[in-house]
Amino acid sequence: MNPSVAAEPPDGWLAAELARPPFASGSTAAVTQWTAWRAPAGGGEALLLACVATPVPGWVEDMRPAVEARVKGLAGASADRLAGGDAAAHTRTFVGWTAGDVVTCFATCAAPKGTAHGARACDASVDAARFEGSAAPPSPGLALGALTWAVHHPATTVLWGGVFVFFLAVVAVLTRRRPRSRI
Amino acid sequence: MVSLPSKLFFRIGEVAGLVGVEPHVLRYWEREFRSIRPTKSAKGQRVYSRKDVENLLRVRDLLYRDGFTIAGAKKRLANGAAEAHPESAPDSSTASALALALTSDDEPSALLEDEEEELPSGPVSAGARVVDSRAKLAALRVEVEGFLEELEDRAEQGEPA
Repeated sequence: MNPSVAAEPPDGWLAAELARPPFASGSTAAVTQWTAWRAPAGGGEALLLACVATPVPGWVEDMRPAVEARVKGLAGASADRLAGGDAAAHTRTFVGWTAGDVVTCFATCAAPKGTAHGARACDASVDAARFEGSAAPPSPGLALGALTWAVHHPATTVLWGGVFVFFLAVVAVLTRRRPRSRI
Repeated sequence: MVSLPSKLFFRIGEVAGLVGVEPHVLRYWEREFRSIRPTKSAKGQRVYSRKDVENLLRVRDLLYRDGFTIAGAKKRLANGAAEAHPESAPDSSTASALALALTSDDEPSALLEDEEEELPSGPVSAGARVVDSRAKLAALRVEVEGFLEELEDRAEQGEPA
């Protein structure tokens, strides 16, 4: 089960179509949830629930700033597209995992800029949004774990790297081909 | 919820084990969340109070179980703190001061005057209370001395706090 965000739109709101975000060619990200509603009276108010899954080799907390920045950027851009221009939006973002993906979700209530916070009917839907179905973060594995450890222990890494290079140098000297004696 | 060992203060390695994250993640969360404020010993090593550990467990649940982002978890913690009754929250300032002092060379017994103490109901002689307090202080002193020895060992081995 993929993680998803659940929220109820305000009464009477209608399902709406909004083009999914265009990802760069070669991107491994995939949209796993994309559901929008609009206010029946018009006015540009809209509610969007969305999730994007991206394969990761494992999870280390160092990834979090980049992942959260991406979901915030996507939520902001989506709010602008919902409102048809600069939007005033109320957004909540979530981060979850499956066995091999990090899944970023958001719920955003958008209206054209200038709409007062609290005047949007879907603000309450965002406040009540629930994040469901996330598993524990996937283990980083040996390679990613070792890389992370090295980043956070630079002195020890340099020391052991130096010892390893010295060892290789000693082995190279001991096993070098000696010139044949001409005597 | 993880049941914490019956001790007042924790080293970063112990906290990392209890919370289930690497020590560098604890340092990262410390930068992000104002409610997590371990004291530093005279040698600059972090000393976490029980309140700090409980806050870290709450942060872990918000981030890993509930899917909050760092910003969302901050808001949730701030709202939670505002909703809580301030008089029911444990006073961490005394505990923090005690943690700082216990990792210096001061005598711990002099620092316990402000600590809450549960006294048995009914008439209790002053002598019995003194004996009881002395026993508690002795037990605390043993724990603190063991803790200081561990810290010194780690410092000598060059391990980061």
